Amino acid sequence: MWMKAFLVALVTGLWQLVLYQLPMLIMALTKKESKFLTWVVLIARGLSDSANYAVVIPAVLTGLVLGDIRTGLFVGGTIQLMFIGVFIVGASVPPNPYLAAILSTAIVILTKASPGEAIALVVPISVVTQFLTNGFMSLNVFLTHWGDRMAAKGDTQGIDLLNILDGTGWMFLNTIPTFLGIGAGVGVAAKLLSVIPEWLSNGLGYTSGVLPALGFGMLLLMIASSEFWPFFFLGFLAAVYLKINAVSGVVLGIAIALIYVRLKPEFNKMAVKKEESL
Amino acid sequence: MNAENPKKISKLGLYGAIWRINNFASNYNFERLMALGMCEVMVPVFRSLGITGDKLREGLQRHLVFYNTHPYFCAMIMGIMAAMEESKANDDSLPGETINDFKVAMMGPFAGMGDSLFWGTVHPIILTISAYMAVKYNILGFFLCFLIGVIAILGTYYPFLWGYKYGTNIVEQIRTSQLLAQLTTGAKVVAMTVVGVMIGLLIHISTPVVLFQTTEKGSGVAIQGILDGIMPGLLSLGVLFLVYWLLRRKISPLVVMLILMVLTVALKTLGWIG
Repeated sequence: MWMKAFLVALVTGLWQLVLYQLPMLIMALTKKESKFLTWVVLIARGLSDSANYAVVIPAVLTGLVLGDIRTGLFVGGTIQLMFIGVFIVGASVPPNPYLAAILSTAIVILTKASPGEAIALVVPISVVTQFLTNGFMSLNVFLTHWGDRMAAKGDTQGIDLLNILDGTGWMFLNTIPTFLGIGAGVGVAAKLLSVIPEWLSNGLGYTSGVLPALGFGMLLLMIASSEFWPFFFLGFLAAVYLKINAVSGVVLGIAIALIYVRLKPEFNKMAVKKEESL
Repeated sequence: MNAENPKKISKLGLYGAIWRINNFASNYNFERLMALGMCEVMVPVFRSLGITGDKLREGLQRHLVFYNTHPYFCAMIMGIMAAMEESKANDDSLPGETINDFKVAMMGPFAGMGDSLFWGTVHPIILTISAYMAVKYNILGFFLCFLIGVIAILGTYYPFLWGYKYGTNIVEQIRTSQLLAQLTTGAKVVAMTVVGVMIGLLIHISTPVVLFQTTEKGSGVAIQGILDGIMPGLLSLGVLFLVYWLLRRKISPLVVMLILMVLTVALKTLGWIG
């Protein structure tokens, strides 16, 4: 089990040590910039960002290691939908589904639990992750003060290394709980889940079908206004009456958006002005 | 100051800033947020301009103050900062406070634009479609997720270079062109439509309750039939608006999640939904 736990930690995060932190460390220590290593860092950042925001990625990778990609897809997708409207605005720390996606996938594959049961664990796990993130951000205050002293000395390399150290810390913040969670936590979770009665298990299975409403609710909280509600209902009616699928939904949305942006009076005024100036 | 041979940030110096931008949120903290990251991005700029001694110390400290904006658009501000530091290196009459004031003035607007364009619309659209494919066991959903990374790379690489190339002018251009406003409006329309489609497609809730049932088969009034007669998916819409209403009353998402769990388990056990 610990071997598998290590492999999951490796593919979901530890690889960053080699592709993300190491190139930065080389450039910081030699004080020389490199076009090639910069692109390695950029691509590593892209991969790492994708996995952090889209938890389907860590879930599928966990499934790949444990030999069941389909479960990874389903569990990751469900959790991603639950958290769709969650993002950092200002300095707030939202609950983080990253670890929850990995552990839920592992629990479903390793203990043959139903996805609904595993998704019940998302709440406690994401709260733990939020707590860890909060702790790390408080710890970072000390590093900023350390940075103050380095800036006062004009130590540019020190500032570089401090940031790289911090980035490595973030990576371990994800990978250590992954490793421990799968290595030690799955057995505990299996025992917990084995005592769940059938009615609860059935109910939780139903819950996972309703939970996307939470993700979309949070998203609406951010973008919905009286100007945009009509488009929501257009989409809804297209889905329930015309049975269009997700990708057609995007195409429909883009078509409506193009018409709307062209016709919206404020933008039209600008267009007229531009034509006049031409 | 040398008028014939002005100091310029080398190409590699710019690359140095670009990789540091991709590390700049590491020191995200509660006191000064992205201050240390901002300071780090300026390291290759100062090095490339050959700034040392007191001026270097002053410059590093100038960029170690409270800084927080959107992680993609920040690159543009950093590009502008690099351009401003370059002109300060050539003409020391530009006071350091001007650079800082400009940075602080840009934080809010750029954060707002970035949040509504990326966090509020582009990301959710990608995440929704990929998650929908994933729950239907379509492996394309997995690959679609990497679009987030592509946006992160392009969204920091080009804005930084634009910011450096056009300097402070770019802010005025963005304000007057309205292209960004059009993009954001359009993206919001797409996002709202997609959310509507997804609520219809994804949230499955129905009720098997039949009123006035007698022993005779086919008697009674099925509630679901009545609801479908009004509009299909009425219950899905109901769940969404319940969640939206709870969230608007500032109830924590995790509490709302627990409420949903308790409600669905209870109703399912009672046999009211199924």
